[in-house]
Amino acid sequence: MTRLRITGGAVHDPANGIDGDVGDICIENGRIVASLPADAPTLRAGGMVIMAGGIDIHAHIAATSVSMGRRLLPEEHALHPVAAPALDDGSIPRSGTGGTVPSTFTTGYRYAGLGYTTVFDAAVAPVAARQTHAELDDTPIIDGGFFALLGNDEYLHRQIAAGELARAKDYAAWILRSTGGYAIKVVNPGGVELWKRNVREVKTLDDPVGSSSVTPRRILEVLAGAANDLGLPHPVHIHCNNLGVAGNVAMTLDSMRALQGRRAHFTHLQFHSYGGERGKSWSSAARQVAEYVNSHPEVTGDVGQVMFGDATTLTADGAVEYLLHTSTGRKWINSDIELETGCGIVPYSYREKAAVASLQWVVGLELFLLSSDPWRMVLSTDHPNGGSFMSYPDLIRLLMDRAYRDEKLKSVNQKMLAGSALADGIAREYTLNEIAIITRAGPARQLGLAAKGHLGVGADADITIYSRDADFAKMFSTPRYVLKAGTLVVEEGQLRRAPAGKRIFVKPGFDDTLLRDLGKYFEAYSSVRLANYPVTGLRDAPVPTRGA
Amino acid sequence: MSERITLTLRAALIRPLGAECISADRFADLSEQEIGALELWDGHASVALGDVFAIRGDHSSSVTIEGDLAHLDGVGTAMRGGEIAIAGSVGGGVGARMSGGAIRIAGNAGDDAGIAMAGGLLAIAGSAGDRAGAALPGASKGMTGGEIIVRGGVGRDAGSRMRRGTLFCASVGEGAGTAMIAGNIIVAGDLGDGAGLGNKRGSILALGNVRVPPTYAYACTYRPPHVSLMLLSLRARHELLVNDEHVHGLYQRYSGDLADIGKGEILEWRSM
Repeated sequence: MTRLRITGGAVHDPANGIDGDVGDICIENGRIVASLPADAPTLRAGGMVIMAGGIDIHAHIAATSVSMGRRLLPEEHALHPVAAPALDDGSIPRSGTGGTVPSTFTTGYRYAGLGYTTVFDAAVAPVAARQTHAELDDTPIIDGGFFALLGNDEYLHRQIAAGELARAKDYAAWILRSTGGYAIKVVNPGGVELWKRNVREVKTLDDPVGSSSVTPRRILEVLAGAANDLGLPHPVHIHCNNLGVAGNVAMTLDSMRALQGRRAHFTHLQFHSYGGERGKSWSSAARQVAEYVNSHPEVTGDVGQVMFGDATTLTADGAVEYLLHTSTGRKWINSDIELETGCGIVPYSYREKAAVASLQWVVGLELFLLSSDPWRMVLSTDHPNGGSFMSYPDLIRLLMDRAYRDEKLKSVNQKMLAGSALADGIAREYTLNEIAIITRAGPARQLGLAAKGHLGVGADADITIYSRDADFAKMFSTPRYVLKAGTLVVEEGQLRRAPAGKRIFVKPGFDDTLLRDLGKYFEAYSSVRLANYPVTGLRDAPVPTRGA
Repeated sequence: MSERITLTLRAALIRPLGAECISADRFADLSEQEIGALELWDGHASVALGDVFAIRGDHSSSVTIEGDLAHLDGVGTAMRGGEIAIAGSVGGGVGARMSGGAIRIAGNAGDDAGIAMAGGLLAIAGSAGDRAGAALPGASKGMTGGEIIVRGGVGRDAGSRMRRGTLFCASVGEGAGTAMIAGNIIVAGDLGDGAGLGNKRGSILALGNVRVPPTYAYACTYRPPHVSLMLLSLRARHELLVNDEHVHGLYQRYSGDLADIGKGEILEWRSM
């Protein structure tokens, strides 16, 4: 029985309405409890700041795309060797490599070192889910889960074309159940399938994808409906069409309107909030997107901030990566993943001197600063697409420290910034509680994780304790203590223990008459037999769905 | 503060040890104790430099390393200045990514000597292994500046993806200057197979025989003035055995690689 009482720290627990009050946190057997006997061991946190462990709602850390990214970038491995940490819990410490796409163990150590204890991989091809579980098994400390790609799945499109919507829903449930996934992910709905057919661009939500009854709009409607009908804890997770293209805000807002009134999560909105016209002009449209999200409580989002420096763009959106490869001339990978999805990877550098990168940086910050509800616009860099998760502390400083932000704004390329809200001056500075919302409480609420992101009784004892520092980047990059399920993993700023994290997944029910039809489809088209497809042997308990 | 720092190997190395921390510019600010505390890589674990080497001297950017160092990798990695003298042979990755200063090796160097080097001098009295002055695996650019002078031969893929700078050697293995972007490779002997394939604007000069790749075309035979200047400068600064007949000689120029932009060249010495 492990017990610990944390005393004297200022608690920032916005989910329970606590904003910096000094109070005790009691931990027993990995959970937060109301009280402990007086002789329980104590951790003194006087003068420090206590928050729940960080939650990354959208990163790429354990998918085949990430593996391919690592293979594409051996030079990063040579440049960034990482020594094994000095652990004292008896687990075998692993060396690894850093860079924009760190090795699995290093990913776990580094997230924990930043005070993050839960991370979701945002795009996993269902047929490759086994690989993701293997990698998550090798990513210590953090609890992990993933979103299964469905927006360009041939079988799903066939059901939509045939009007078999009940079967489409059953298929979505079967995919999540078979892969051990947590939510439905849609990447460039229909666009990846069209890209495979040599169509380079999706112009409207009503472009036909093979059949005239399959359109990006229908795909969004069907999958948003499936996620909500199945009672999934996290709604459909949408990467809109035309990522990174000037003028794509029209498509983004159309997609939001298409799902008006239904729960939906729109991800890395920064990449989807550009005004102007393709090939002609480029401007910020963050204000329009922020206004829409502000006035529609059913919509949640994360920002996908761009941070200056090296990044690796990796996504299921092969079409976007083709554009990026042709515009930068840098090496790339593009692959089809059976009939399920696609994948593209291009290493990239965001430079202050570059006009587009500067605009992207500004658009992301505007989304943060113009959003009235931090619960619904949370922090992400779409790691490693907009920048590494290691840049989160610097991003937090940009949000909390206007003087720093304004100074930085002066050093970036101004060419495309005319008329942007940030260039006109935004005074807002995030408070510590707002940071706690966008990095913990908000993602937990969006993901429907009842025991995470807060410090109330019954919550998982995932806790991060920071020493106060006027430099917020420093404060958030080196937490003094981090607890994962009650275990002190970081002590005095040093990683000391690396317990295995848990898997977070759902097991929605479905009508098994689906399997007869699906079996025929698998026999005809899949490289894997239906019986061999489902992942088995997940040890943790699934997160309940309302439909189950 | 001493004039020189001397590192003497305490016991023979039986397996490769990563010595990326040994860099002359870094040593200028360090006491003997601090130098001893630097970490060498032994597999995935680290060992203290002081446990492997006896250290004499401190606060100097002139460093001598003594002992059989053929298993010592990465000496002078990312070095920015100062000078390292290696009394015998050294392992792989010597001078990798260095941008200034000089590393002089009395014996041979292993693979990856001066890989992705950006400036400074890497002088090797013996021979060097594969990929001298080339790019890190996966990287788009090899050496981007500086000089690598090898009195003996170098292995395969010397100067591959090289962007700028000079590589001199007595002979090369296969694939010298493949996918070279620019820069100079000077070979005092024969040019191996596959030299200059994918070359964009680089210049490969051979004083011995050349097997011209099929994607190169003969351009002319002439006395290139830049070759005279370059060879005279190298001879004067590095005491290289370059004959006057080479300095003032006639060269055949082959343009290529025509499968790429074709602005590069292979120059083959013909006669006085």
